Amino acid sequence: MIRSLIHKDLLRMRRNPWPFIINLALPLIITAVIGLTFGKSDSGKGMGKIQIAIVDEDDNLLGGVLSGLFNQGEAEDYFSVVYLNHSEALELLQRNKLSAVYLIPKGFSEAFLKGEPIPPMELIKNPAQRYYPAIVEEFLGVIFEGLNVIARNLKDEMPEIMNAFKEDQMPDMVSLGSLIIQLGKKFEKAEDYLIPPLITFEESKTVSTDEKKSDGFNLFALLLPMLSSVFLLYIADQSIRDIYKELNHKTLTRIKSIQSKILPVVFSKTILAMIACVIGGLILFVGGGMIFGIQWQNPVQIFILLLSYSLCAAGFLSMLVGIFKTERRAENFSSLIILGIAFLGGGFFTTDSMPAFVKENISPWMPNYWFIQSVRALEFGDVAADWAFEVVKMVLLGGLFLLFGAIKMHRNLEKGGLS
Amino acid sequence: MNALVLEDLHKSFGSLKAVDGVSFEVKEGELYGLLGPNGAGKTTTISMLSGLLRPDSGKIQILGHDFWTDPVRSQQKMGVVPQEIALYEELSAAENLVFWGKLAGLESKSAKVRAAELLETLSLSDRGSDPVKSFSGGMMRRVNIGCALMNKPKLLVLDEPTVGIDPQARLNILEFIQGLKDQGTSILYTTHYLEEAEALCDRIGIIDQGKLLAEGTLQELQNRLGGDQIFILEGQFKDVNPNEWIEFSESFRILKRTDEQWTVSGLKESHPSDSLKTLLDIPVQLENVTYKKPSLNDVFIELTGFELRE
Repeated sequence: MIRSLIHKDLLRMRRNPWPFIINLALPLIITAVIGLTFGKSDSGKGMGKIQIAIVDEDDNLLGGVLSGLFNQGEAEDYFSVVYLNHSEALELLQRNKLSAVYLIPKGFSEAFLKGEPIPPMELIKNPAQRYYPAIVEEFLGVIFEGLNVIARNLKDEMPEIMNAFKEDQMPDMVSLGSLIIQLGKKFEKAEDYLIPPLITFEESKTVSTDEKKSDGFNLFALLLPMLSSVFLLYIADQSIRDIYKELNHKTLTRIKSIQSKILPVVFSKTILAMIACVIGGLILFVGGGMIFGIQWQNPVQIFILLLSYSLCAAGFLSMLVGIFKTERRAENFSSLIILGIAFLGGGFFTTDSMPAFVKENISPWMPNYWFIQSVRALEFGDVAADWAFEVVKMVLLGGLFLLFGAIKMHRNLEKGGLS
Repeated sequence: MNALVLEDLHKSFGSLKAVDGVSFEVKEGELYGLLGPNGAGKTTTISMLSGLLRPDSGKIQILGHDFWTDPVRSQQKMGVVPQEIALYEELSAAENLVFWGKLAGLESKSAKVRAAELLETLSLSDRGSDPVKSFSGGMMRRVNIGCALMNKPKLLVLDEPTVGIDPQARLNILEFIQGLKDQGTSILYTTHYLEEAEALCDRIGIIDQGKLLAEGTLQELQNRLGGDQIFILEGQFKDVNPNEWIEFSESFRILKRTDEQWTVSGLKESHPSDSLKTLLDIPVQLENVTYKKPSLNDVFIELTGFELRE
């Protein structure tokens, strides 16, 4: 009987798929909107390049070195640099074509090398973007830290270095040789500290050539599980509340006049909610992965997480429908509760950005938090979460919710609306 | 053996006695009409005999078996057509039939075969794969009935199956029900349409305020009026005492009276013109006299004091 009931409901869902499609489309659209705000997907190679403009008013040796740092080594993978004048750069920034403009002031090299007060550097950040300008700022912070170290330790040698590299002249080889000897002596003094270094990092793990290489951070891969966790709750809610539609259309009454019992109908709705969540989750993760170029590193574990989260969501929503008794109340309160859970569990914002009290005392109790954190732990390793343990928690809690919800719903229906 | 037996059925909702000692039976192959106004207790009675409500007291037997001893077994032998169109509008007529058939215990394959048969019988073969929501009211009603026939029930219970449809569609449904009866299906048919009960039913039970007031064939019920003549007299009847008119009292019974109108039935087997002469002799100036054959409505008036349509 349950099979016939579920088959019938799946057929109905297929005939009228819009509510389901909307709940699937929304997380994809929101993910796309947020993701694209912070940078396009780079064909599965993580975040898109950060667009910055350098306005080099210094036009000297050090200015050239500084601007060149954005184009060297790994930085080249993350930054796309254009050299513009001040007004051109600002215009592009205003048109949201740049994440930041980095201005090297006139006389910077000279002041730095002479050990004089350095005219302030300027970083103009795009206020329409949040993370990319922050990354540029962090990167510049590291460079300036290095420059400060140099300036402090090589203060005496700076004038000679400047003389050796005078404009439009070949370096004076004699003074350059002497300078190198001086620097060498200075480094010799620090030899005990530097060679061997007191603290070393030895790479202990090598990646074999056939091992899949991580594609690095992908903002979409962070957002999609968060938003999916929210909209899967809405899908579960929609499926469970279909029981009220059956009640209003008297089909539930008719079922009882044929089969005498309605508990199977109640169970069929919770199973339907779970199936709908799993189908929805698969579409979101697989389809979303294809759209946003996400290569899930642990698809099997994520699928198991999705199954357990679907059970938990179906159970939870059936419990809510059981508690709220009437369709109107269930409709109003369920939506509010889902929103609350979504916020508290990190469905809309990562819990890292939440107040400490919420982050430490409330979020860890939310099933959507378990789901999101587990996916993050599996994909990025940036949070500590044991996915298998979270699966067990979700299955146990979901089972309890489901049992309680089914009993409550059954009791309400038998008492109330069937006659 | 009777297809359905109800014995002294009671059901109350708080202080309201919805069904108060109702007893009747539906014989095999019989079409029994339960006639009464809205709120008379018809649907509550049907809810009890189809397992939706448990009676406070009384006995229900379906084809010789006590219903509440094994409700599912009884339900599998009967078909219930609810008053509302209880169908899945997104599904096609065929899918609805197959689903309800499977629920009634049919295998998937036999359900499909039976659905095709029924679509043919219901003249819906060409629309079988269309979603029910695209159907007219009459077509939906036909599918609604079809769903209850999937398991070829020996007892069919129809709760006001023609509510809210146009006369042509109603006629089609009544013909279809007559056809089922002719094939030997026992039918309990509730309605508040007098003409349906008159045209369709072998026996009729009249129910009001939870009580079965009378039952019998149409003729038996009409005989309760004492004759086969009904006169409606219009005039000024205020402060008139008909007991003082000996000939009138011996020949007529007042079924319903107001200050301006009396409905009377003839008690003697006399020609209508003779009855009319007697009526014209009463000491009240009559403005209009209408003669008609007695109907179920007149029986209802006689039993309850008001018209069924009131």
